[in-house]
Amino acid sequence: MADRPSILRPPRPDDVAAALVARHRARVERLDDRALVELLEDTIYHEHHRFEEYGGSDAEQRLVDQATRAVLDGHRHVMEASGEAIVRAYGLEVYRPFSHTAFKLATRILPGALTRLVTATDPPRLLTGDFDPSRRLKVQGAVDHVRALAQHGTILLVPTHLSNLDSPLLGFALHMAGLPPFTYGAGLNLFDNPIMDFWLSRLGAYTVDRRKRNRLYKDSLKDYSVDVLRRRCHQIFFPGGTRSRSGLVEKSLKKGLLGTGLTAWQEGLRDGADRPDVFVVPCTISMHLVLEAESLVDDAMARNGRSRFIIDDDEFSRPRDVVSFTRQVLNLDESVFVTLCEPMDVIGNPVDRQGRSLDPGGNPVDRRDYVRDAHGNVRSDPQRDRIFTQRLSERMVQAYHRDNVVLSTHAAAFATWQVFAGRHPNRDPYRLVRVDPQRRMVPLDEVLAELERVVAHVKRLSDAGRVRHGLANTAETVLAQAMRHFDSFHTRRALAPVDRFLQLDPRLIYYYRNRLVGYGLGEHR
Amino acid sequence: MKIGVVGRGPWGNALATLATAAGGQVRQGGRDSDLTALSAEADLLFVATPSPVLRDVLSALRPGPRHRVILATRGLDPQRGGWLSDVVVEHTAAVRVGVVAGPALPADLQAGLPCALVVASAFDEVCRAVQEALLSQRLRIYQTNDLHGIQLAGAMVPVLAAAVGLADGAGLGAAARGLVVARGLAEARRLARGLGADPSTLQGLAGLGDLASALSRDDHPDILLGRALARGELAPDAETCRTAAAAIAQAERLGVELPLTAAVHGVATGQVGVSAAVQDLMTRAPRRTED
Repeated sequence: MADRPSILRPPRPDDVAAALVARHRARVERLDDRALVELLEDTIYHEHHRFEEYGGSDAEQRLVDQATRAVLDGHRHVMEASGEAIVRAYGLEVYRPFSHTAFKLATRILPGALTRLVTATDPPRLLTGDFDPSRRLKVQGAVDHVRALAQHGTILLVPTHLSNLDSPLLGFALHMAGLPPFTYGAGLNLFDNPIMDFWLSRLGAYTVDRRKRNRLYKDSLKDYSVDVLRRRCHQIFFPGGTRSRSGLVEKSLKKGLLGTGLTAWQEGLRDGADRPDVFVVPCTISMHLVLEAESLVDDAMARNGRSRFIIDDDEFSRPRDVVSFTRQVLNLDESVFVTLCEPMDVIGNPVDRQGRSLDPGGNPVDRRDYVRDAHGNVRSDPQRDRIFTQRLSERMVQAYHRDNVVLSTHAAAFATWQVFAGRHPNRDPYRLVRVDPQRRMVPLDEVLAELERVVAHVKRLSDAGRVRHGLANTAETVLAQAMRHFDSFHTRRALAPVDRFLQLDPRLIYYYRNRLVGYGLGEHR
Repeated sequence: MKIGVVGRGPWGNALATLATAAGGQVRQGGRDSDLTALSAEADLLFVATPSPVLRDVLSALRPGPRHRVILATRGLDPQRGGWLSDVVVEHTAAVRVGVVAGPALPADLQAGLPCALVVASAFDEVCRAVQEALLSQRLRIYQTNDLHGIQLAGAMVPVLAAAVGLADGAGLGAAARGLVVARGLAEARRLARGLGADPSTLQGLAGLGDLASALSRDDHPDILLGRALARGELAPDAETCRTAAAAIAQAERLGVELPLTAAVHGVATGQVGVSAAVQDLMTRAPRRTED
């Protein structure tokens, strides 16, 4: 795989900031004075909120004060200058220059580091050298296809998101698959640690501060994404926006960032760029257990009914939990499945290995005609682009469901929840998870019978190409595997045998069961 | 503008005539024509063929990324009961799809009488292209983004016209006509709401407007169908009956009641007699008019 010249020659931070300011300026030119005031007011309002909740640097506060004065002043050029200063600051914050040397070093030492981490409790294995990280992590699906496409254009990898461990696992998986480096967004808080800052910055990460909720910042992030794609750097982002709180496979995606692929492609076409194509690769990450499952589902089922957008006190923030999870859960063969789905163009059509878009009959079509007028000119149409991106998002969701890997914990949790919910027919999930502890028992026989049905159904779907699975043949084996996995990490016991009954933790069971919602299993709620 | 028209029936002919009069370069073909060649030469494609053959027509036509595909075909997908516009998007690489519907009658259009149509598409540019292709001093074309609402109106109007014909044929009197129209549109609005379409679309050109136009003609095919049903004839394979079945299936999935549609379907398939159907309708539980 040839390295991409663009990523080897990272631009200067000032150039990146200037590019974002230029895009911002082009957008502002289309705004009347009233809309410009609203844009700045939105920034002032949300930034003041952020300062109150999380604090802000003196420089940030000065910029917002300056914006306030600009709005009071009311002169357009003053307001424009203030907005541009804020965007410039965002650009300098977001951008981190990639280092190929650091990338090569990291990819060389990472497998060894992982080995030491997961085998530290098992020194003989370390000495005999029989640990193979690639056995722990199975990369499957359209790997060759994506590798081929990387030669024809830029890859936009859009995975499902369950855990903060997804990023490092994905990075490792892509390296194992022989794919070139990707750039990706990482939480700004991770850069607070100087060592993390050093590595993340040089491994292709850019910063995303989810505490900044204003339009200027969101637009700057989108502009940065377009800029990265225009520079032909492969990119990863999680289109669900945040980790799935309830364990459900993503159904609704953030269209703003997703649309940057379409924008970058059209700009490239308009400018006559070399290989302007952007290929979208949905990707599923499936694990038997999720590190943060307990915190996430507790948040999803919170009494106030409102999930926190940012959770910074979960298992991921506790190094001991991360190490324990890595040793107990990731140190198992095929503990993580990374599945690259069939690649698409930015409108959602499948593409072949040469990068040609295909119609539903498999015939190549010229996708440029989606955006060109009768004279062959690329024409801007925001409404059209929104609909195209919506279509892409729908195709991605279908791909997620098709390439989701059903594992023993999901099937066992689904069957258990079915029996549990069936015994409390008038309770919705919010009330079910609050059933008295002594009533959280379900007969083992009923669970096994239901599990047998679930396993058979999943296998039928899998044969029809509608889902993937890693399930054993019998319900008894699936249940035994699931209980072994559950017992390996979580502090709360998801399933505990009591005579001929199973005692369940309804929240954990609900969380893992949700991975199987939407497959026509006749689920209770 | 290069325009292709598929269909040699009254609607296909009327659209071809209008597009030619508006200055377009028009090529018209039927199901037996070389439709691949027709689509290769056109940017805007009108499809005016019956819904049961839509998939076959699309397979031959193979519209692609540059095409705007406009359906003048009424009804719901006879295979799955869904939207015909979805059939286009799922079976071809065309994404920009629209629908034309409304009270204009092919004969009136051909005769140059004042008419109106509505074009629906999620894409404004598609609506504008249709307006540019067909607009004349004798034809007003309104536009909307409610693609599903217009398709539902196009599907339900024939069913309601058949219901009126049935009431006529059963000798129920003029008041029954008003009852069928008002309550028929009410159930169509309920279905629209359930399907995520805009219920008010049913009160517009493609709904109330089209129904009023149909009821003004004694020889309207669906009025005649309703009268035939009142005489005891069965018509389970009539397109209107199949559309009613598709609408009922959607309504059952959504928990929506369509009593008039069910009555037309029941009588057409012989599941219920005319008298029993009327009695069922008249003995339903009292309800509010807005329900």
